[in-house]
Amino acid sequence: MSGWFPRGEEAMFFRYCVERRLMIQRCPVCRTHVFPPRSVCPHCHAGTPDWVEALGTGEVHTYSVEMRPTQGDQPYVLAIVDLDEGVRLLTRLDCPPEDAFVGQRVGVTFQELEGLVVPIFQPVALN
Amino acid sequence: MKPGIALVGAVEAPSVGLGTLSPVGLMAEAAAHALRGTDLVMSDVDGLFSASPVYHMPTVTLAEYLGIRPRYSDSTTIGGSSFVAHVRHAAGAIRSGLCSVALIAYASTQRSDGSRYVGSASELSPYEAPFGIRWPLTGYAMRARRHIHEFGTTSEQLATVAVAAREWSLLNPRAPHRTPLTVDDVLSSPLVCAPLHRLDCCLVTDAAGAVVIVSEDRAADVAPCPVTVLGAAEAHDARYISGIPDFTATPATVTGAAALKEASMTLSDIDVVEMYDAFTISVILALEDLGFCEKGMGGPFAASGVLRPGGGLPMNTNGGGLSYRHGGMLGINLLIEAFEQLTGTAGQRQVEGVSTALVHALGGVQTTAATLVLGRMGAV
Repeated sequence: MSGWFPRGEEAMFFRYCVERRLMIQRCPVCRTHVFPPRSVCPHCHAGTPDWVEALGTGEVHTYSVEMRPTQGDQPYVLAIVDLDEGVRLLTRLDCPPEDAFVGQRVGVTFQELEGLVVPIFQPVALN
Repeated sequence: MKPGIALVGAVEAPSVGLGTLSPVGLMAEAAAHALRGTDLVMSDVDGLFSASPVYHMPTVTLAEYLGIRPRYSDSTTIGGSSFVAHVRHAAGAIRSGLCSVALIAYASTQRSDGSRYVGSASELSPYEAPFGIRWPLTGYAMRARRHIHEFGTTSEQLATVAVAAREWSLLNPRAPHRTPLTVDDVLSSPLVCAPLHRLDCCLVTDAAGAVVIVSEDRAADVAPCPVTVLGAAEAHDARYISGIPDFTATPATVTGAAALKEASMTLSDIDVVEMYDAFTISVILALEDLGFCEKGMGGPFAASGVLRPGGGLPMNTNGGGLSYRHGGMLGINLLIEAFEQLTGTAGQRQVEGVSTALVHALGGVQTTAATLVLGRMGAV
């Protein structure tokens, strides 16, 4: 690690990850989902968002293939996933680079990276 | 109408890239060099502006080194666009009497530093850093992927941006590469962060420069060819990749229109464009957001050859960050090249009849923007 570490609400998010729960937030005033976690709702600025558990499903909005990995020696896929609650996060996609595509349906699982349990996503079958 | 503001000097440090001066040493050298072209002296400087990945308090570091005590100090950091935003901040400070001679400076020795160089990695988002991102490359690769998905943009079209930059750089004797680049060269360079190849990325070099700004009233008395600030705007949205609201749009949509409106101009009034080209996709996005072409049409627009010397839209006339110089924060270099073009001192790469320039800078993952419309004093 080079200088960064989770503090406060950031650390809270990763404590939930240890319990294998993908926690996001929802504003009690405007009812909008919020991520990353915040002390003030960025939509209405009136509420303090509450923690809520996400369904853990979403869609790949865009992705990159890291050909010069900063972790390990194999290329990996990083993706922006839009959760079904309407919030967006950056994550690892657990699939070969050639299988990744925009619009792919994905579901959460958890893995340890850089000493933290983090949410990564796997392709899920459409039904 | 607001009182006029003018750039009276804008230069690179003569020793940039030689490895003989520290970053602050280079800033000081550039400052002295910029003032040499004016009737001003260092002790006239009473407003200092800088941003830096090296110094936490860059204006304080520079003031001590120069032996000056400014009465106004601004180290606003909005990434690589900081210095272009500083021009607007300096204009405001001068208009309101907070300072009268503003000096903007930047230096990086990231190339000379080699593996010892550490940027602002400590500021990575804890929600992104664990996954192994390459800041800021990952964000631009994701922007490119989404643009390809939505609009059918191709890697060949992206490559034409790098090819045009190299053609301009061949007219610049200070540029590092002396041979042209082809689309095939870009596509056969290694994929570093797919879909971006190594040659879709800017150079990693040392850089250093300084800009001197005064009121328009004073400018004519202290410099032979001042450059007037006709319009200026800044904006930002996300700090981190996952915060980007629209991967195919940038805050240039706001700043381009605002700067042109303030200048009472349209794009057709602009003679030369100096634009932040961190990656080929950066240029495609900015061309669209500034209104040079429709959203989604940046790829075909660039591939038409319009960006090449003689192609109709003179842009990044020194070779830009892709083929001339990129010291981590490019904004200062954009100002310097625009100043040279407007003062007719750009040598072999001088564009004919330049009286206006648009300078557009980005920062972060193209999530900050600063845009200026500049004009040769007396010509517009």
